[in-house]
Amino acid sequence: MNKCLKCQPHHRLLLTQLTRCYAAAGPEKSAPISGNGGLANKPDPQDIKCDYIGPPDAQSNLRPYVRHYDDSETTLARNLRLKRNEVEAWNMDFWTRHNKRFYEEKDDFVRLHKESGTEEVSADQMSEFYKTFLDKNWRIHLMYNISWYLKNFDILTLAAGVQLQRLVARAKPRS
Amino acid sequence: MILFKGMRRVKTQLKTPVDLVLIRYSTAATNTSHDANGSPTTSQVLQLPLVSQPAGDSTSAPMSKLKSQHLPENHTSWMPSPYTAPGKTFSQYKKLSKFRLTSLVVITTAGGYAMAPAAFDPASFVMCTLGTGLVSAAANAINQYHEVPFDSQMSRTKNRVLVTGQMTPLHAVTFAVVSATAGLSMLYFGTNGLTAALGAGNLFLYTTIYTPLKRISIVNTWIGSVVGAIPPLMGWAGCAGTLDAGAMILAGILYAWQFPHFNALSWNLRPDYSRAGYRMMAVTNPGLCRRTALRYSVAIAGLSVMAPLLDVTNYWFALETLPLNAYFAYLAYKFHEKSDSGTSRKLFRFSLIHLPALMLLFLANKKEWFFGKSASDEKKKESSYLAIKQSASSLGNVLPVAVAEEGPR
Repeated sequence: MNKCLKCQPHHRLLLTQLTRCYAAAGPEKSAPISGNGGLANKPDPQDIKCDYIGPPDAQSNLRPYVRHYDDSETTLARNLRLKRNEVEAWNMDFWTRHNKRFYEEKDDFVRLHKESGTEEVSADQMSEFYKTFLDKNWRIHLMYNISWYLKNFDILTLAAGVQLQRLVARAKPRS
Repeated sequence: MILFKGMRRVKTQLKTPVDLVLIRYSTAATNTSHDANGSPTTSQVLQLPLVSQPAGDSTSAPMSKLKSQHLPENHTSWMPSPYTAPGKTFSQYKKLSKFRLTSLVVITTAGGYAMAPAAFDPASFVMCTLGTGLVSAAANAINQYHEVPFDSQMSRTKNRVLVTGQMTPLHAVTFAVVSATAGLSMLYFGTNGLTAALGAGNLFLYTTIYTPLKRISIVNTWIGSVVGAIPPLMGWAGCAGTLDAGAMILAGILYAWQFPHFNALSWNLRPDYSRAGYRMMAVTNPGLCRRTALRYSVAIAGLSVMAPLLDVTNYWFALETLPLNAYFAYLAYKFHEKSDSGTSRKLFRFSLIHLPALMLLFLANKKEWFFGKSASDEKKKESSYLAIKQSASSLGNVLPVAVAEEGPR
């Protein structure tokens, strides 16, 4: 449920009874933007009441997450959070390196072709670069793919476990 | 497959002026501006693929972004995840299930249903189309779940709900499981086992074979075309209970259509596909890309001419589809001769008109419509009448009533 409603008396969001958590944006840390629950700067994991996602990183194009936690976090939830952080860091690292390689090789290719006299590199010539890049990275991509699928599935099962835990915890006080 | 989103003019919900939107394209976060081959930056080509209006309309291009304007990059804001704007829960599911694509799939299924040589039953029709829609939604949701890091890399897909964190992966997968269960149950209990089996097979093919294959080999395009060809078969089977040569014509046309459609679309996305690691013909074998687009557009024309021969439609159909298919083949030929953003865009756009038009023509020229009684009942009556007559003559004085056996059909 909305754990944050009491923390935001001035923020009457419409469908707050649905299971959506809008974090208590502590005014001293970062001011909320235009009443939509957003924050301007990267929040501290312990200050927020739910996970936050940020703008895409310039090198890896992936969006960074800040995963919240507090003292009432269960072991399973902690494992999930740590696993997610680990996978996100791994992902970001991979794509940063990969994209850097792509742009460097592309610049090299363009420079090479410009040097050999052509004014502009045509689309067909660029196609050659794209193909060789893909072929060079085929094995890397395959390994990444398999790893990513497995890690993603791990996260999914952990998340399912945490969700079940929460449902059970919510059902308990009533019984 | 993607359906273009750029055709309708949007009353700008943007409070930011046009230049700010253009700035967004060239921020560091969108690396596609590194394009050095002199053509307009890929992101612009992507985002304005089908808007032939002047540059002032560039605001209407980032369709999917307009509605979710709560992620403006100039603020670089951190948003809660998951996040649903009030009243937008359903639209999130629509985005997750690729609603427009699913609608096109449902249309082809309905077309298959309508073309089948059996009586039209409204209840089973609804079950068939809804079931197919749900199965397709599930398949798309699973696809998006698997492809989050790759979708982040490409401009076309970087605003998907899982990429932007509006929905958790667990939520998306739960949606997919519920949707698939509901859809397959509807197909099994509402129509028949064959349709349900086709649906389950298609779901498996798409999520488990096509999605990983996209990053391994260009064979994925052929598999993806099979995925696109199965829904009309599902519709046909849902109505008639069996598949015959006529069903294969419909499926064949849809299979062939995927090639000019997808090859034209992917032509402009080559840098993005290459960087994200997708192996598509447009990147690895541009010559093959052009040839298959042309080849299969001619195949569509050929299959349309064969349709009357297999009793699917009447002979006017062949005449009526000639101009449509000829123009399609002409555009494919132009794309083959000179592949650039202009010809590919034209071909892609026309493919989106060509398919519904072809389906309508199919419906308009259907060989015969069956209302209430099925054709086999009519034939049975005739043949048994003949049998009685024959036996009456061959057996002389034997009472016709006693020889009401199955006559020649």
